[in-house]
Amino acid sequence: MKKILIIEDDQIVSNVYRNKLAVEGYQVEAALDGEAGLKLMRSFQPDAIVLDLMLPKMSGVDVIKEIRGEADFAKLPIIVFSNTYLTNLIQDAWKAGATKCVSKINCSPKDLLELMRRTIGSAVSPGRPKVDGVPGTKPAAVVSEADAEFQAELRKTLITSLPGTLAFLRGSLKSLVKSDTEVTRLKHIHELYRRIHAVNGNAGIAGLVQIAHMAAALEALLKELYEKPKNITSSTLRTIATAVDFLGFLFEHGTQSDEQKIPPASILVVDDEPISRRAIIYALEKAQLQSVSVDDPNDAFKLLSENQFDLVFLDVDMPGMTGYELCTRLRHLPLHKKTPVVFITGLSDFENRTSSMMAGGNDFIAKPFLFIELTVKALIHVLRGKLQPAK
Amino acid sequence: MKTTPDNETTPAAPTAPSPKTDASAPAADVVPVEMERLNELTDGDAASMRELVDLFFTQTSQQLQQLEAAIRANKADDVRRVAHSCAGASATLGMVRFVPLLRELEKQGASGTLTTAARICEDAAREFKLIQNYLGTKLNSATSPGDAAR
Repeated sequence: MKKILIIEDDQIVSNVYRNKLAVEGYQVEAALDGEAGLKLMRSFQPDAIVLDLMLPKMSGVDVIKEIRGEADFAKLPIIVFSNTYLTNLIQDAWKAGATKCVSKINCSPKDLLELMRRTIGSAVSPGRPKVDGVPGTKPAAVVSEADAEFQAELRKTLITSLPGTLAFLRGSLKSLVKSDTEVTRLKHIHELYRRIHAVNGNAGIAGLVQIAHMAAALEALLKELYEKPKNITSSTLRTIATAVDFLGFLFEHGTQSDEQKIPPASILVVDDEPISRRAIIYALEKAQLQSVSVDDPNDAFKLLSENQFDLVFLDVDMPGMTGYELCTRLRHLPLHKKTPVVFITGLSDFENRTSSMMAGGNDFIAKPFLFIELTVKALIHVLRGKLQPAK
Repeated sequence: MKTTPDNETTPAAPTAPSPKTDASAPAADVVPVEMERLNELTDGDAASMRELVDLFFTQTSQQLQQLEAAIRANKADDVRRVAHSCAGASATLGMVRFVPLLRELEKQGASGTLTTAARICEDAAREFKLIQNYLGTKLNSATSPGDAAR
């Protein structure tokens, strides 16, 4: 019988995967942190490891390094659960020796099972007699139906817990905003991070992809702020507050099974400076959002006159026409009376915030922005627009 | 199924990376470039990073020349506009010591009085040379994707 070790700090996620793999005939053990996982690996001698990168105590990347440092496990397949918004962490995992990186956002227990079969083969060696309940004994249609029922049950249970989760997030956010020292700010950011990490994992296995995406992006932003407190600014705090609010909206409107994908969106980026433009496009691509970018506000106005966009990012200080002027003009276009407009500006003083609102802008972000902060904002505006079209 | 822990003793605790305490203003011993930002923006791809750094070098060299000319001609609004653009790009790429100098030029340009602009521009040019040397060394020592960022 093939053996799998799961190293995952979220007990619920761990149990769901463990049960699925065990039912299919694999022998499965689980550990809740890296140190316990390494200890168990030496005694259990698994054929593969499933590892969460975001672990308490020892990080997932350090666990991979330890495993690769031991001759007996140098070639052991390691399937890594990652957050797609943490690009640098994924790079580190590959470099340390991960065999495969999968996103928690959309890896169902069934997906993990299939991946495991491709990586180490079926649970039972060929030639051995099959027993009831072991893969191959049930028709595919029956297995598929059982998987769907199981996921529906997971989703139902998760949905009932969402109001409590939202109350916790709002409480932590309130405390964070009131914090007057870095120590207390970090404490509350960590609290939020822990809970959002759990929401990401649980929504992912329950097939609530939009909630999982939003939680994963917010988790990455919170991690960045926790590691680099200098980035805790009025802009990033405002983004966290908006994201928590929007999760509340998703908890109410984003739980239908037929809505579980990131909808295609058309985004326009207007900035005369090529490096800033590139950074915006990169941040959007993190969420698989495609965009059109232009450097000239007059060209942008022409595009806006002829095309529908779901979201517009505008630099403020551009030659020929400021971002505020462009926004004022686009609000007169029938296509863009309600299109969300986000200003990207280094001029984040109160006067300019007022100008952005007077011009008809919906939001703003201070330069130099964190890439993940812009990703979070884009996801919020795109998903909200799709789930609640402007009237 | 319970989706999230009820209290803080539950073992489901994500990684708690150590917060780093950063100085409020960049000091001389601060490295001139936050490589993590450059690395993230290029997904750790060495070729992509070279291309981006080349773009930054070309663009910034031109902007520094424009700034010198605008200061000599006492064209305050040109100083503001070019410094603003240069600061935006530099901040995006994590040039932590370069940006405050450009912001000061932008400020003087906006106020219309270029009192110490010439000296600040010289400091900015010196800092830019340091950035060029720093990134040149990093990129030349990179042997595989992501190495430049380490």
